[in-house]
Formats: sequence, C-alpha cells, structure tokens
Amino acid sequence: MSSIVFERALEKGASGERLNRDEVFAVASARTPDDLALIGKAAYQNRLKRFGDKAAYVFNLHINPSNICEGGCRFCAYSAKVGDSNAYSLKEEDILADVKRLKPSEVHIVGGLNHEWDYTRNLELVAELHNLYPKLHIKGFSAVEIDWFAKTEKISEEEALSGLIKAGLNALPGGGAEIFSKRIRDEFCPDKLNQKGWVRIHQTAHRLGISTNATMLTGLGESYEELVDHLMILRDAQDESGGFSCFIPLVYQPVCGEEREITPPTDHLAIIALSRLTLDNFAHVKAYWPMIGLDTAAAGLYWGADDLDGTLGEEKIAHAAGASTPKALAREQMEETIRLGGFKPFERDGVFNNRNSQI
Amino acid sequence: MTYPISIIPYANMAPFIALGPPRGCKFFSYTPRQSTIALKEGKIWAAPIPVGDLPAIENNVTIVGNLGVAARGAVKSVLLFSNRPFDEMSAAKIYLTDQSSSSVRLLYLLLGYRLGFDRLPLRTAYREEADGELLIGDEALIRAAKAGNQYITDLADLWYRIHNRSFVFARWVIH
Repeated sequence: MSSIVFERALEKGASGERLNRDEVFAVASARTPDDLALIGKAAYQNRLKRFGDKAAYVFNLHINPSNICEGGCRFCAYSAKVGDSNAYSLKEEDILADVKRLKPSEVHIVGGLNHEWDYTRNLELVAELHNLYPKLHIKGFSAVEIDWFAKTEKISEEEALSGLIKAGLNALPGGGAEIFSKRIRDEFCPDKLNQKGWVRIHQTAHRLGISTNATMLTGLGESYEELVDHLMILRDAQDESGGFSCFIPLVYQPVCGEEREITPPTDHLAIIALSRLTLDNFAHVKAYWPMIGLDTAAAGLYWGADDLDGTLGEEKIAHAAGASTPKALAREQMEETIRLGGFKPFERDGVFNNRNSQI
Repeated sequence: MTYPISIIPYANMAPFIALGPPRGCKFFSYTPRQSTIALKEGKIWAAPIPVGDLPAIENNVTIVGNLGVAARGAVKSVLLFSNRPFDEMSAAKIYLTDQSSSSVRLLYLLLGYRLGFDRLPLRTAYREEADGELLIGDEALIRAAKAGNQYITDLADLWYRIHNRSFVFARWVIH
C-alpha cells in the first residue's frame, strides 16, 4: 500500500499524533511485508518516544477460582458445566497458600459465571487478600463478571463495583470485550454482555476511581472494519472517562481439527503496532506472551508494546522452561525475553511503576 | 491458491509457529492422527504424519527429505504414566491416547520386548479404570510436572536403551 493516507498515518502515528478513522483503516488493512515493516517502524518510533529502551513485566499470579460457567461462548476452551470431568472450584485456603508461597506483586482474578463462587464469596476473597497483603495489587473480575454479580445479587453495577473496591479491588482486567462486532458476537457469544454494557461498566469503574484494562480478541474472522471499529470505540471511551491503563491484543487459539487458520506471528505484530498507533490515549500496550509465544512477544516490544505481562504464576512459565527453581527462573526468563527483543527489562508493580527504581 | 499446512499443537512445532507460514501457505491445527485424515480428505497439503500412518497413505504423498519429529534418547513428551513399574504391566489395563498412532505402536513394541508379546496388558476405554495412561505432546509435559508418585516411562528413552537408536515419530509429507 503506497497511498497518501497510509504514509500520512505512519508519519502521524510515529510522532504520537491522533489518526483519523481513514488513517487507522489504512494501517489496519496494510499487510504486505513491505507495509508491515513500515508500520512496525512507525510503532517503534512511537513507543521509543514514550518509553525509551525499557520494557516491563510483572511478577503476578493468575487466580481462576472456578471454571464452571453458565455462559456459552463458543470460543472458550476454559469453561465447564457442573458435573463435567474437567470442572473445578478452588478453595480459599489453596488460593491464599499460593499467594503466600509466591508473594506476587499482583493477582489477576477471573473466573466463570457460577453460583459457587458468587459475589459474596469473591468479595470476601478480595477483602482477605487485601487484609493480609495491603500492598498487593488486586486486579479482578471482567466486566462480564461484574454484570453477572449485579444481576444475580439484584444490585446495580455501580453497587457491585463499589463493594469490591471497598474490599480492596484495585483494577479491572480487560477481558470479555472479545471483538465488539455484533456480527461476530451473534455468532460466537450471543448471550454475552454486549459492547455498550462492557464500556459502561468500565467507565463506571473509572468514575469510582479505579483503572481498568481493555482487550480485543482477533482470529474469529473479523474484517478490517470491525478491527477499526473496536479500537475507535475504546479510544472514544478513553477520551470520555480516561481510566484505561493498558490495551492487550488477544488472539483466538483454534481447536484441533477446526478449519480456522492459526494466526501467523506477523499478524500478531501488525495488531500490536496498529494498537499503538491508534490508541494514542492509552498509556500501555501489552504483548501477551501466553497467547502469542515468548518469541513473538519479544518481537512485539519492537512493534509498539511496552509490557510483556507477567509470570502468571511460577509453575506456568517455569514449566515452559523445564525449570527446577521456578521462582527465580520465572523472573530470569522474562528478563531474557525482553532482552531478546532488544530492550532493557524492569519489573513493575500493578500500576506500572518500577519496583526497583532507585531513590 | 493458498496451501494449508497442518501444525500439530505441541511445543515441538514452536519454531514453525514462531516463523509463521511461508508465503502462500496457512497453518491449521490438527493432532497427528487428525493430520492423516485431513491429508487423505484433501483438506491439507502438507503435514507431519505419524510414521504409523505412513503405509496407508505413502502412495499419495511425497516424504519431504529427512524432516520429521524424532528423538535420540528421552523425548519427555511421549510418556506412559502408571501405578506400577513398566516391567510389571502384564496384568494391567492401559488407557491410550487417540492423538497419535506412532506412540501407540511404540508402546506396543516396548511392552512386547519387555513383557513378551503373549503377556501384553489390556486396553481400557475407561480412564478411571486404567493402571497406566499413554499421553503425548503438551499434555504429557504438563502431567509429568505434576506426576507425584506415579511411575513415568519415557518411551523414546526406553527405545534408545534397548536399540541404541533414535525413534522417528513423524515425517513431513506433502500431497
């Protein structure tokens, strides 16, 4: 693509200027190798201005209290129904034992929509975590879960959020956005909280004083227009409420035998770069390594991302490396991956401050 | 025309996934056994096929050089998990993976060599009744990290100790 619109978009994006919709589309739809190289370069220049040669990771723990879910999202490989052989529900003492053992900077709590881990039980977990570890950054509950809590408790979304914030919740993760396209949502998750509801809950959270993340799930057959629509909705919402902290591009993992293409790494990088160039009002863009792989995530740092997300819990990343000393290797693996991308790693806290910055 | 290529969903395909498909190709996710079926049905153009399935399709495909999936010694992802040592599996029941035929054939040969082909264990369709379970790929890797008190036999390692040779699990073929 050699159009004037495309070239203007790259020039503006590289310097951090806002792109209009046509310019965003020009970048989104440019996928030749030469175009991708130019997009990557523009995104790199943008992130260099913002963050220099540094990239962050966090020592965090994912807590998934239960995978039992009454939702029916077709793309979900995590959920189970009551009685399924793979259904599980954790106990509080096991969750607290993991937090005590690992001492993460941040916990990321998300789970299925069920009555076993209901609002009250989750509220009590947050309160207990905050009581035991006042400095722990507690990020939890997607907008979809907040919507579920409000409906099942027959309270407002604001009341549900306020209760959790009072108990110690610091942030919402960005899950549940999937892709805002009604066409795709109707096919894959027709009963899920819709785009308007998702944005409303996040903006309510911003109004109540906590930051939230945002995501976009690709790989479901979305068009370039649908990609652009999603990003523009988020950008407009951020202009209004200002509380989004980080944007995380996610990608659908096809099930074996499903006749759907595995997204190639160049597409992951293109989306990361597009995000950086479009979301001028989002501070952070993440290269989410659990979905795109450590190698592609390292490259993503050059393509506009400034954060690699976390260790998730030492056994996951340690398992990937076959480590016998998981905790130390988890940090080492993250730092090595960031260096592989050509950047200087630093461990951050839940609000993106350097945990080890010198006074 | 776009050429669909099967990529089996295990860690050993990570280099291919990291590099991405060649121009004009797309990657699709199939288990080893699904890859054989998809190749026969014309849904894919290239795949790493279990060597156990090659005889059935070798007239329809071209083996690509010396490219495949092999291990010299322990492979760590083709494992028999059992409640007793491998050499005591005669009267046992084993639950088998349906994802690969090469691993099942390898297990058959190893059990035959060690126990005698007239003293092979039985196959069960019920996981909960099994004294042993054959797993491959990432599922095997993950289970091994949590195995606890189970016995774990690395089939490629056992093969190497018996024959002092590598074991080839799969060969890349094109239609």
